[in-house]
Amino acid sequence: MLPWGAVTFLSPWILAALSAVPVLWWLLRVMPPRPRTMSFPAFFILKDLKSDVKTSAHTPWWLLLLRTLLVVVLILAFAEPVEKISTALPGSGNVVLVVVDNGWPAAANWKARQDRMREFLPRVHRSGRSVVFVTTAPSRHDARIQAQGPVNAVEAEKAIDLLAPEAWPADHAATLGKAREVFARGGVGHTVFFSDGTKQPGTASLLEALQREGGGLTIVADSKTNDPHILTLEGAGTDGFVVRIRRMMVRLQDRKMQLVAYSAETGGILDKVNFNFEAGQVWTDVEWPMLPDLRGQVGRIALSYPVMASALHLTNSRWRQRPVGIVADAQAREDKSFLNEVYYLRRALEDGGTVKMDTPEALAASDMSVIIWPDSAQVSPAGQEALADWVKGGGFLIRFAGPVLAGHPNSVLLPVTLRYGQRSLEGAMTWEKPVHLGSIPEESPFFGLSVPEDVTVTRQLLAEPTPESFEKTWLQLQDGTPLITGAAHDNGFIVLVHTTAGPEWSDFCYSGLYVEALQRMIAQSKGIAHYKASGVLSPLRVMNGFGVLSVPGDKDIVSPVNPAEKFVPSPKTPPGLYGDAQQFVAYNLGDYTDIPQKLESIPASVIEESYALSGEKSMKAPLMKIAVLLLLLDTLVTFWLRGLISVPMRAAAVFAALIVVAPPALAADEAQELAGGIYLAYVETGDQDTDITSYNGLAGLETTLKMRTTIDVRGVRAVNPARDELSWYPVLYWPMTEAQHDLSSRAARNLQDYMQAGGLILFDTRDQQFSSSGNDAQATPGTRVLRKLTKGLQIPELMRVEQGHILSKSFYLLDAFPGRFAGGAVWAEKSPDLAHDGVTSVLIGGHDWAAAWSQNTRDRARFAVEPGGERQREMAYRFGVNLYMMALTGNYKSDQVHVPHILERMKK
Amino acid sequence: MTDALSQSSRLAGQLPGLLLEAERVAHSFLRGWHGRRRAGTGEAFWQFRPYMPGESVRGIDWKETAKRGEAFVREKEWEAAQTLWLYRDPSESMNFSSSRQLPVKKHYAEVLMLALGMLALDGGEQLGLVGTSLAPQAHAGAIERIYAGLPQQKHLMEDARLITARSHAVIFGDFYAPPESFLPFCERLALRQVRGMLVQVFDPAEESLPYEGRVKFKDMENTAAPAVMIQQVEAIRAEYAEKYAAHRAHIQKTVEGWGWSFLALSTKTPYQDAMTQLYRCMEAR
Repeated sequence: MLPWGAVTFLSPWILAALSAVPVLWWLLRVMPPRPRTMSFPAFFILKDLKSDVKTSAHTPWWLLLLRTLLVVVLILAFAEPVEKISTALPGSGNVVLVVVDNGWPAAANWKARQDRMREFLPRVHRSGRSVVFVTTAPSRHDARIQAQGPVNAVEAEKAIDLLAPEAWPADHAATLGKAREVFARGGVGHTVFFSDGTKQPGTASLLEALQREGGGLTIVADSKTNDPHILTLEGAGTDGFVVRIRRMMVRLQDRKMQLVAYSAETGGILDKVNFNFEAGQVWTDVEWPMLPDLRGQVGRIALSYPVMASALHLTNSRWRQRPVGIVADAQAREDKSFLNEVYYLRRALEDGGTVKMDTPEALAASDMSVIIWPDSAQVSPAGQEALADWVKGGGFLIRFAGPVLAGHPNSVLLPVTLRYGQRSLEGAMTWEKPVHLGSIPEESPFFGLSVPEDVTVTRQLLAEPTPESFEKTWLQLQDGTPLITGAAHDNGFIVLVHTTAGPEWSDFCYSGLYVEALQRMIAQSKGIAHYKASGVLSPLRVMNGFGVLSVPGDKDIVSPVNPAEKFVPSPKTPPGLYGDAQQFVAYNLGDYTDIPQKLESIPASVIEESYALSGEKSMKAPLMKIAVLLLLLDTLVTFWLRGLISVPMRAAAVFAALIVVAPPALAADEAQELAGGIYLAYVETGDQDTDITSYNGLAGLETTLKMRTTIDVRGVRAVNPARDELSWYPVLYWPMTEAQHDLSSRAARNLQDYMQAGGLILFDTRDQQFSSSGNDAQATPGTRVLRKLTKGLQIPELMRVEQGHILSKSFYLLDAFPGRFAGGAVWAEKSPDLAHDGVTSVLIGGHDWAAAWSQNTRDRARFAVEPGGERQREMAYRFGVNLYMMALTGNYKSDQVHVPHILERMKK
Repeated sequence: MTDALSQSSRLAGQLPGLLLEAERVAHSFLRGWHGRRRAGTGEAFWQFRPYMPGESVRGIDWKETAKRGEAFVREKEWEAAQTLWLYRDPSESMNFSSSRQLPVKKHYAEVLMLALGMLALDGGEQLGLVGTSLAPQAHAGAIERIYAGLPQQKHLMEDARLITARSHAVIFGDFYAPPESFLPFCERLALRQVRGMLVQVFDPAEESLPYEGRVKFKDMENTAAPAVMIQQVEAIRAEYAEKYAAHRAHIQKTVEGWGWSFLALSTKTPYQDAMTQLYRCMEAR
């Protein structure tokens, strides 16, 4: 290698060819370009000219210069110049062992790590060696340290793309064992350790062994820059959270940081708080005041940077348990009579989980979020006291009125003062008609529920009409008297329903509002934060190194957690959510780990490098581009000199040359074109047959859309997510083929951005005919490809598209979404982002839609629509129309569910 | 489709093109031209004059004689219509145009020739095409016959006997040949009292030789002739221009000596201007 300033030539001997340039110059000079040939009418005059000039024709100097330059540039390009070249890889042998730290602290700086690893590869390539990767975190598949390779530099780049930090710590002692296995295979000439800058008991011996046995060690350490953070929730009081953040580095400057709270329901951002991590501190507490309403919705608290599993806290709140107790004696518990209040309450609460029935003392003693006290229940003074204490401690008490309460209106646990006696509206002694339910005040927690019109109340208890009693009214009758009143009572809440829980005094208990109101009240309760699970909890969602939750993979060895034992983050039990559909427990990495120690003492003989990129850049490609341009120019000039292109052609050629030189302008034009209209797009699979079918299918759909809707489709485009900008297309149709490669990280990012920005991807596994069940073991080929391809994507939680989904009514009213096949389920995002108008970002199905949409005769003959024939094809088109309508108009059609109500109101 | 059929349809497609262009040139020229004050065609009445003894009795207009009681002769204008012979050089060297903006010389010559023919027909003259067996005709269809006859036109020298004495001849060509190859023929015509005019149609590039550098020139007439390689065209340009001018001057001087006229027209010249020049030249004779 020959250094020349900052540029080094990898094949310097080629530069020797430069000495031949003067010879070339001379040759070019004496060998002029071929003359142009002219047929000339006045030839006879020319023929007889005496003084034919015999000067030797030379190549014009500028052409000479152009050609010489071209040759020089080519020679330089082939000499492979590299700017700011890194030093050669030390050691010998034909294998380089690359040890990569990918325990949880590595996530803090992961991108820099990957970039540095990629930059390292040309050095491996130049030394002609191959790479064996050993990752220090136990594998999620078998909890052991994995070795990969040997692979060449090209495959190593792919391997680096796929490397990711895990949500559990690295195991350097076990890594040493694996490294020794690799050494035993022989050929290892040098070892490179991409460290995350942390130390554990086995680290020192690992470094020492790598240095001694691995043919010398280069350590790429970022102990100076890597700064893993740990976030723990220290307190969740009534007025907000206290978040403790710990870090590894002692910094000399204050650092501005940000905490973000995400909603448990939608995943959207609820609140942010900025704080200052003071210089010199390794931990800080952030007090984060938050309204109780908002607080109840928080599902996740995380640092905005660094993004890592340890800097994240799942709050359990989405899965906060709200056990309900009903005060009932043994007899009422078993009684199934239709007059029993407890029966109605139990029926109403059936869907909400388990309901406990016991004496008030027992209920108050156990963890209950809500206690319902029907009028018929016998509550002793001791029981009342226990309940009062429980309410003071934050309980939510719901009482129902009835004959007993009517006799004791000065009971203590009431939200309002009651008047003596009951109001009877329909009886022998009264001419008043039973009263219907009235409106729900805006301040009421029930606001928004629909009030049934046919519910009447015949008897109720009346509140003393004080100003407060109006504020406390949550639901009133048509005459303005309260039906449900509620008020805060110390930390807790007391609610009174002024009629019975059963049908004695009203038919409220038959209405849907009864159930909804109970659910609202239960949701209003504080709930029990620290749910004590019994028995083992199976994994539901587990974290990766960046804290992203996902369903455990097929091959992962994730196993259930026993809450009685200490939780240890490991491949078997990664942090995440454990439990079943009703009861979840969050295990946060931060709660079960400590700030790691810094890696400080590195053996003296180890070569130390940093994660800063050296800026090494090969100049071969740019030089080649210049050479090609020069060659093009030379060709044009030669043609012109020989008269093969005339004047206007020449102008066109110059124009063409300009276009070659200035492609961005053209790209901008294309972007403008794409942005100016709607294009139907499909993802190129590389399988020609599938791509043609996709194209034909979308072209057929284009015709349909133009004919039936106002969607003005401009055309059909094939896109490659690794290369193309996707944001122009409302929908991407993506058929699954076996041939497709895994997504590159760039493609994955591009697709992720597309979905995030409101795009819709229709994944078509095209294999409905093979699918039998959702059994994993018998996954269809298309499904397997889908899983493989979407591994790099964060696919949101899915649900089956049911009747009533926007997709079924955005244009046509559909009850199924057939393509070439029918009968399978179509899956959509469970809780689409409201910012995108509730449009799902993914649709997954296996109906091979493009084959049904195609109007191409050949496709029609090949792809018979089964089993429904042409009728089904029509339905497939309707699905396509609905799909695009949904993607383009969002949920506005879903408003139509209100149309019957609006019409009814207008009739009045 | 048979060959004849395809050819005729092709001709039918072409026919109006050139003719219409010529007609447009002729008409726009007429609009701007006031020099022609004629009473009509040769059949038209011009005047009555008293019968002179010795004249043919056939000339007496009996009706007029009966009216006036004295013998009168009906005199017609242009009684003896002249014949205009047209010719354009059919050789390969006429198929040249140095630029897309300029017409091919042959086309330019044909448009001018046909326009001239139309004007002559308007003036009651007979039209004949040199080099074909077509007899001179004076009716309106003559121009189309001439047009149709153009492809069959042979070289000038081969068929000069047809040209009648005391007629007019307008010869279009580029005259890029040694003068002795065509001037003697013209001289023979001049001796037979044919009044002639030579119109040299040339491309501007032929006069200025605007090429540069190494150029290999090939003969258009005789493709077998060895090409001439000029190493630096710019170096011979002056000498070429001199020779070119001398050639033209020689032709002009010779034909004017017989009382003929000579006109050099560049294809750059607009048709209207060219027609004006042509007419001036003919009138001046």
